[in-house]
Amino acid sequence: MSLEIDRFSHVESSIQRWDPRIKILSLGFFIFVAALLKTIPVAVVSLLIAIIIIKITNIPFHFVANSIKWVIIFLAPFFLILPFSYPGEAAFHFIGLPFAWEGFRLAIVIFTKALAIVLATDAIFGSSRFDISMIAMQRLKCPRVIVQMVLFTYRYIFVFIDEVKRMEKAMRSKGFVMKANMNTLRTMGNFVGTLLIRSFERTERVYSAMLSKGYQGDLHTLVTFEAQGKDFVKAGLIILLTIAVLVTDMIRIFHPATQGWY
Amino acid sequence: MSDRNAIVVDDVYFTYPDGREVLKGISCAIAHGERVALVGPNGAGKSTFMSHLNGVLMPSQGRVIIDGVEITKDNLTQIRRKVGIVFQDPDDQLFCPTVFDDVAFGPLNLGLSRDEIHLRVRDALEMVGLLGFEGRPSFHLSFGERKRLALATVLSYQPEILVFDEPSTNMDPLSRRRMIEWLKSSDKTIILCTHDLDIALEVCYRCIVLTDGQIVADGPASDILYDRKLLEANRLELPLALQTHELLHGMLNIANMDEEHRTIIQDFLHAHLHIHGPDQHQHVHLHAHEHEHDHLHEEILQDTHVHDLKHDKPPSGHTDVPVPHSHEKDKEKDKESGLGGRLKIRHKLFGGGGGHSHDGGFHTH
Repeated sequence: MSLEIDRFSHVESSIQRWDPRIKILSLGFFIFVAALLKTIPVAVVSLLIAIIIIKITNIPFHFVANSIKWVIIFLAPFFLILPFSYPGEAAFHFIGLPFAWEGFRLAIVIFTKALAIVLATDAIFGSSRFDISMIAMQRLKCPRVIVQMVLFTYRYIFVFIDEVKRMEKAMRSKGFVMKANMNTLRTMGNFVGTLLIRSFERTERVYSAMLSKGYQGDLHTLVTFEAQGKDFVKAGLIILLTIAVLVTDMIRIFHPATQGWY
Repeated sequence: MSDRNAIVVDDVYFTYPDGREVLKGISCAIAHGERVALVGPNGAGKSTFMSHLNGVLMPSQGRVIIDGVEITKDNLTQIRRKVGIVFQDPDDQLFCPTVFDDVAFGPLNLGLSRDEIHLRVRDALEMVGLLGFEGRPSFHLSFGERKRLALATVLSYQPEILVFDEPSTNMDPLSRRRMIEWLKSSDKTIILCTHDLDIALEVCYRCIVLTDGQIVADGPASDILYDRKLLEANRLELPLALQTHELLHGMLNIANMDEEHRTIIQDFLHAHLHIHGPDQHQHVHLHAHEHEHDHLHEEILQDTHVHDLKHDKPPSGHTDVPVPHSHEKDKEKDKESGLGGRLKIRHKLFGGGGGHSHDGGFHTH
């Protein structure tokens, strides 16, 4: 199932062995900084760092490619929209619309940063079992409600997908064909509504089952974390690199004012 | 009703927030170690009733007493240690990432030590035949495995009372059989809320029929599950095993049947004799039809019943051999014939008292 972000968490690597709490903090810092970058060269450097990190995790390329595929599909339109909508000097006109290089450069920066962030996120959650990552989040004082919501969402997304597939099969077996008409809209509306109701009912049943087993708001676990020296060394390395990236971007070494987004 | 029972339900009413009154004055008492089938049509209130047994739902009126302690909002933790509910859909019950986590969830909430939790997880998984599955994701298991795992998640916190909602639904025959065998071997107080009357027949000694939020019958499973009229009046039907038996009994009346086929049917009926009922010894003489009723009585009086054909002498130790009919007319016939009802027929058929065993699958009683 391609949705299992932690499918390769068992693979042996120094990232997998990294204490999840320190890993989340270190790579979380990297993600935060990557989101702040404004110049193309530094954004590209951050992307390279993310690629190296994901390479170290030994997560197969096809698996990573599958997750960044959606980011690319989502971000690709930026290259069409931003150059024609960003305020700046028009380099040329295309079908009457002004094309600004500033907009194009901005699209590159956003695209590059987003890829770096997604790869770093893959490295965090793909290199530890998802529930372990969530427990680590809880240990890092992330609100328990959020942690439990994410954990249960992740657990039940697969059940939900199975339910969607079953309902879709049932619809098709009754001759439903998706078309651009009111009937399709009405049917899809019913489909989504039914899914929501079923999901709601399931949450009630799951909650009842949890209550039956003594749940009182806290998720207890036997998982323990023990940070070692090498965990901090890895953290130090990432944080140093990240600070270097940030400082480089801030002093705008690569882009004198005249060069805009460079 | 004595509060020393495992469960006492005392005049319980329950109305959902939307105004639907689902339980309408339920009262019953279940003793420690009893195995009770709670049967009824869809919408009868079985699941709602079940949810009252460990305080997931609280009665609008009335009280539920578990092992002498009335359920209140203040003692839910204590109650839930005693009453484990195995829900129908395992996906509702398996919400943790791995098998181990799911089974450990209850013991963790009990605040047990790490070693004790590991021990309980191991024991529970062993009981349901899933030892070695600890690290696997729960949602990757087959449905039958998930169903067994759902049971393990409840067994791990060692409740004294187990409540099952449709335990056999969607299970393949082998998994269903394993579940039945486990239920039969358990010494816990067990309540089965089910439509599967065959599992009820095989596992439970007692049966409660719930219809429209009220208990309409409560008694030995060997009475209720054989009572075609009662079951059909409550949108149920005879267990399939009994229907088969009834059909075969009818076939024995075919005059021109050759001996080979007759023997096959008699062998089947004989085997059937030994596999049904919680004591694996329940006889299933069904005769919904007038002619079959008469035929049966002739057999009884002449000691030529199927069972006798397979033994040199009538077996002893059969203490519970109901003749499954509730027709008043038939009862009168019994009286007229001097049999005077079900018990007399049983004794006539099997001699009563004592015990016996043989290689055909009988168990010593």
